[in-house]
Amino acid sequence: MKAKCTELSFYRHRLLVRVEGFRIERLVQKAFEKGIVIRSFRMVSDTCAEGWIAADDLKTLRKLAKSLYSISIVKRCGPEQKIRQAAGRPVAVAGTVLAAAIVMVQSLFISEVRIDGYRAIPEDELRRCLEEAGVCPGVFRPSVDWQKAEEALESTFPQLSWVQLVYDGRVIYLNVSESDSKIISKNADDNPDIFTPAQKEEKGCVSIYADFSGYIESINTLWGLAMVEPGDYVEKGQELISGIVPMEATTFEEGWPTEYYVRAKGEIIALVPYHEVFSQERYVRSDGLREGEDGETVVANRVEKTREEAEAVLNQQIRLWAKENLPQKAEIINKSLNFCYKKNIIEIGVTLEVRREIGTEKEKEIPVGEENSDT
Amino acid sequence: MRMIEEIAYDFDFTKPKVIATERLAVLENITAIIMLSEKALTVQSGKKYTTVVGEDFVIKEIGEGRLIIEGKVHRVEFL
Repeated sequence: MKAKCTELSFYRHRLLVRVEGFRIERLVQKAFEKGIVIRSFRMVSDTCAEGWIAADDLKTLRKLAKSLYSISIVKRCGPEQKIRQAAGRPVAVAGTVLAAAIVMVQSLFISEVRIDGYRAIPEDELRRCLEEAGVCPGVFRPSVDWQKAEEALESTFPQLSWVQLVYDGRVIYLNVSESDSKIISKNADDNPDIFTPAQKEEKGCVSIYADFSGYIESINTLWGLAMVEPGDYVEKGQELISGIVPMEATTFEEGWPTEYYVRAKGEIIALVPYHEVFSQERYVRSDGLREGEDGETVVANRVEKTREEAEAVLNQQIRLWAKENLPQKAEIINKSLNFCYKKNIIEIGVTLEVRREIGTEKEKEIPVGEENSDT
Repeated sequence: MRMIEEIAYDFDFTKPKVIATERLAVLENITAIIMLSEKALTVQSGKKYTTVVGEDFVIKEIGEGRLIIEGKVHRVEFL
């Protein structure tokens, strides 16, 4: 007969028993000889002891104890005992099973889609494409066709060089990688904004020149050599940041270059004066009556504009002009007005002081074949 | 201890073997439990008797000729 596993039977269902009687060690000795495993045996008093035994050994121990010792069960432990207890409470078991089932079933639905690695393609477009392929929050995950979703992404966005669609628990991760070159797809006409050309690698020497005359307010040079300072007056076309930067030789070698070439970058803010002439009608229509020079009542169908009315119209004209002629970041700091009344119109000379960026990048030719040139 | 002595010691089931620390004592080759209390425990190993004296003894396990005691061990006596 195969021997039963002592450890397993002990932990499967174990009992804390209390033994009462004289000379308890004799009972322990008999149990020891019979091979009954006793654990955490403790003498409570001279006539009482407690210890854990396997539930299967209780009958044998009671036989050994005869009527000399009293054996009582204090506590029952072990999974078998727990199952028996649970069997006595079917509602609690049903509730636990139901809760576990809800958690399990819930874990099969997609809760979130995380997209990473995109650059030119908007996240919304990728998300929409996934939704069309049946990958979106709330979808039963085992029903998702991963291959089909990946193929849908690749066909919709041909500029994707790599697509990885994986899940971890309830979260779906979409990792993509876009190729640098621009690829025109069949659907490019539908949504041209999706396709953004990759930036060209910029080479050569570039300087920044003033595209308006004005007073430099601030110059923030990122690359290149600043040629002007705040407060300087610059003419249109004057070089503001040079792409040719002088350098000093650090060794005594001959033919050491004295300058190097960069693509100048920076922000130049200047106060630019503008002079414009605006004109508007001198009179406005009116159906009112007014007193004449000789005291007679004159019916007048037009009256002269007041200065406030003229200024209000002028402000509107300036706003329109600024919208058409000034960049978005430009700011009108000051203005002076000169009203000139003519027969039917008012001509207003306006001098505006505008704070705006004035630099434009222009390629600068590198002297070829000369000293310090690359070619 | 030489190897032959060590082998002889390992296979000698008549003599008591005791491993004791301040809080634990392991007795092997036990044939009978002679006396048991909260402060002392006497066991028989072949023809020898071994007594462990201490406080708050709890027998963690009895079985297969081995007895493990937890508690404060004061001394071990061989008779």
